[in-house]
Amino acid sequence: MRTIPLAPRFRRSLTVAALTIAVAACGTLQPATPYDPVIEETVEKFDKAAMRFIADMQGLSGTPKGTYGENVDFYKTWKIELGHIKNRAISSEVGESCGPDDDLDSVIAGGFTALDDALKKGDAALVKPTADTLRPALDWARASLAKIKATAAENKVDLSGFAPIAERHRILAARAERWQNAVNRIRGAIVTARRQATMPDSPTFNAIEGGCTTKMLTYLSDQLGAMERFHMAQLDLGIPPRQAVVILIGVPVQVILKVQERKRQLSRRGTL
Amino acid sequence: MPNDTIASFDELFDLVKTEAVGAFNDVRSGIMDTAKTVIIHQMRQIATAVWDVIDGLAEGDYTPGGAAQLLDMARRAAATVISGATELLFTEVEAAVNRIYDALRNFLSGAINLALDSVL
Repeated sequence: MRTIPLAPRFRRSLTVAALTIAVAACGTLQPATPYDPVIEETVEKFDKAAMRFIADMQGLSGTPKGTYGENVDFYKTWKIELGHIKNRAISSEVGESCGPDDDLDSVIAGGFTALDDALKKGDAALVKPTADTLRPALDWARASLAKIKATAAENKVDLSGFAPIAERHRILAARAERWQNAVNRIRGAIVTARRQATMPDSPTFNAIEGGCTTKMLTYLSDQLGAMERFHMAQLDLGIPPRQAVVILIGVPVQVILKVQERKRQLSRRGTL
Repeated sequence: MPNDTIASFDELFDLVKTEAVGAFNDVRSGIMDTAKTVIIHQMRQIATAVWDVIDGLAEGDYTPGGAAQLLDMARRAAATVISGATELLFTEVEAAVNRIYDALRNFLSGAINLALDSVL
């Protein structure tokens, strides 16, 4: 085969032309979904509304006005708003996945195995004082009281002046009962959580398909649904003045706002 | 950028190398920021919430059904943290790639004139 000799300058020209075509063909790489101010604004508004709602509900905890049935409107309004930005994210999503789903599953599964182990240890730690410490102490108190009563009866002594012994026995019995109730409540919650996690039609956590922004906004929308179920399951107690629900709504909000903030910075610099 | 003067492979390589090293450093600092502020901070918050669920159950502030929903929420919050951190990494890498791409495009828009001059 004959080859045509090319001048060095011409060869360089061809190289430059080839590079130009290659770069032009690539276009701007776009693995991440673009910055969307509507997502940022809506999530900020949801954050304020949710924090205000939770604070109000915590103030009304244990009263009829704090029950789920009296406060359905909040959930109804924000389900629509979050559903809208979720659809917006899906329509503008450029990525088809958010890293390997297997990795995500293994991280979450690993985290929950550790949680399960921690709960088992907590369960064992709660049982221990009841079985190993409290019961012998109770038995001792009961036996002592019986002995004192018997001795007093034999010697015809009036025991009404010895009320502190009976009072100590009553306190010990009440403490043992509280421990046992706490253990039973924790066991009940673990059983319920495990049952829900293994039920095929469980309305609880499901890994989402799609790009990262779609996933984050779907999780936020689902998180509101889970908070609604939590409020319902609390019955007359309502939402107690504790940290968990504030944190668990706050975490997805903070993550989404962090991502949007970084995208906004890079967009303004012209690098995204 | 001296678009009109760059014409050799070495000059092109130097330009791309400088941009790539700068972009890599930006990605690396971005990743450190992601690891510190997002993953560690948020996972600590989730652990605090789980501890609160256990404590609240013992105190009788949560019903077993309510606590089960909170644990479900903890699981979803952890998934959101991982998705968010991944999206931040994608964003940093995309910004770095765009920076190198822009450098190449700027170089070529100047160099193409020289190349055309040599053949026309």
